[in-house]
Amino acid sequence: MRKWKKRLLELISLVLSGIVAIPLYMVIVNSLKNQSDAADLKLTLPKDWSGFNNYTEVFRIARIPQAFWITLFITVVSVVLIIIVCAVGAFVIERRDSRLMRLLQHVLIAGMILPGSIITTYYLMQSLHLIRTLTGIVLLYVATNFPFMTYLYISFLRGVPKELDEAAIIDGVGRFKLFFKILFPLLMPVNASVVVLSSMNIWNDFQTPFYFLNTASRFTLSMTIYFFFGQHSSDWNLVFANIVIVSLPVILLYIFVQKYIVSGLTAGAVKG
Amino acid sequence: MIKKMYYSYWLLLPGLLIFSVFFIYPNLTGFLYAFTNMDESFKYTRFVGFDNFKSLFQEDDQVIAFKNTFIFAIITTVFKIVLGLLLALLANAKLRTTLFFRSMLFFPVLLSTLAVSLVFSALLHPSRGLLNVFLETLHLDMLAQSWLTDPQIVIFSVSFVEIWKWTGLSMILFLAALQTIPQELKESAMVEGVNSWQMFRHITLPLIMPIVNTNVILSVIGGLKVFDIVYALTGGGPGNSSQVINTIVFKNFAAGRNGEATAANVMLFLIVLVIVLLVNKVLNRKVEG
Repeated sequence: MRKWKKRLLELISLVLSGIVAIPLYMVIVNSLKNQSDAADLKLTLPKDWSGFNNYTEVFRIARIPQAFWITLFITVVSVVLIIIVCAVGAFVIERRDSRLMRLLQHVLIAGMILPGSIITTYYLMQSLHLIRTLTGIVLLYVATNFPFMTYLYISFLRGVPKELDEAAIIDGVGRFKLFFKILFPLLMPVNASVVVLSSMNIWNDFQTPFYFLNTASRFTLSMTIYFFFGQHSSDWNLVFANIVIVSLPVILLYIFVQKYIVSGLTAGAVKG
Repeated sequence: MIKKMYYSYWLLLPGLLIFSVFFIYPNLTGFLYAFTNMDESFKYTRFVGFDNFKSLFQEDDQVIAFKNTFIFAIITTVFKIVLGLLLALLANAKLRTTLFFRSMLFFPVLLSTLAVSLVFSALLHPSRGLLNVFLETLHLDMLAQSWLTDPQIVIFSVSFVEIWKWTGLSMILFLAALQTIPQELKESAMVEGVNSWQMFRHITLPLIMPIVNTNVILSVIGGLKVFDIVYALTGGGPGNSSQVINTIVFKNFAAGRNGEATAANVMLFLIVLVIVLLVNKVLNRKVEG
């Protein structure tokens, strides 16, 4: 490539990066201003550093620590359950390879494409006394993630030779040991994809908690953003501070494990 | 014998049970309740035939939701694919800015949609929002709009926010595909005197076509099912001008009209089914041809 062409492309990359960076910068500087300065939504730096109070205030009013632990709990429990039930399920579906199991794979594909039925799910959850409970929302996340994540494990297991199973069986290994001791360790790359994809889905999700966990004592982080904005729509400084606080864990994670996030995501999407 | 012992169906049961109870069963009963006058406490007294569906298509505020859903799905898909591909080509070039560029462009994918929606409700504010202020400083005042309050353009503004948030994802997927193209292939094409357009058209594009298809399908499905970005940015307003199918589901649910809400959900189910089958058919034909 010619030199001037390279410089031009570099300039274009920087301008395009700016389209992403400027909104983020606006959020950060305005989160540190007082209420009337932040209302102007300008890109200027804050006049003083008293704006850090915004953060302590948001922590208190929006009950961030509670929402953080609830979101973390829901995400971790759902992801662990998703890994277990999907990996084990895929193991049976792929290794059996019967007509029934191939039919089931078509059901899984339909399940990852088609939308869920919200109102009847609500009715079901209410009848089972699972509405507005953590158990209920975890079960919903397992159900909605089941088809795609299982399919991901199936595509990966196809590449793991059956002779491995046979050799282990001849050595007298039991069925749980066969799966958890011999095959599961080989599935680590898919596990990484499943963790990245499902935890991103769940951590940032709004629609599911909005319908099924809509009670102030169990708000997730996304829900606190929504309701905090509803009550403080003219306090842009606080709204922005709230956005920064909620995004911070994700940003830190991105900085430290960016490589794994990107590779987990691409491997997952490309395989699936 | 071995199969029965080692690959026991019992292992499949937990996941399949949860999936059947909390996904398949509600979808099946949805097709039943969509034809009833189900109220806010989920009680119904009779079957009403197609009345719920008729009211979806007779009330103007609901008809617009279908139109908007299609506009949203088409615009966001086109832009996510075209922009995503262009950005991926740029991100694949060896420049000093490449790493920074990739990280920056991918970043919005990780943010909560709710956070992004609120940031853009500030950026698109008609008088103080950064976008209009920027256009005014460039003396392009005539381009400044009431982005989120003008019924004519609001669905396009919402689509733009979706594009801003998700193009990074299609970029990263395209980039992963571009990186699997062997360097020797490009070098030998260069030796043959192939120009960059021919290289893209006849070498790069055919090789990444599977990922183009994946991206199109993902984006169409996501676009048709959209809820949070619309609900948080506009709540379906002003008036009903930015309603989409999923916000209509919520609106009817909130008003206690669960029969109609379920009917709207069933319509979404059928629309996604038909469109994905169609898109899939078109994409496969292209690959063969």
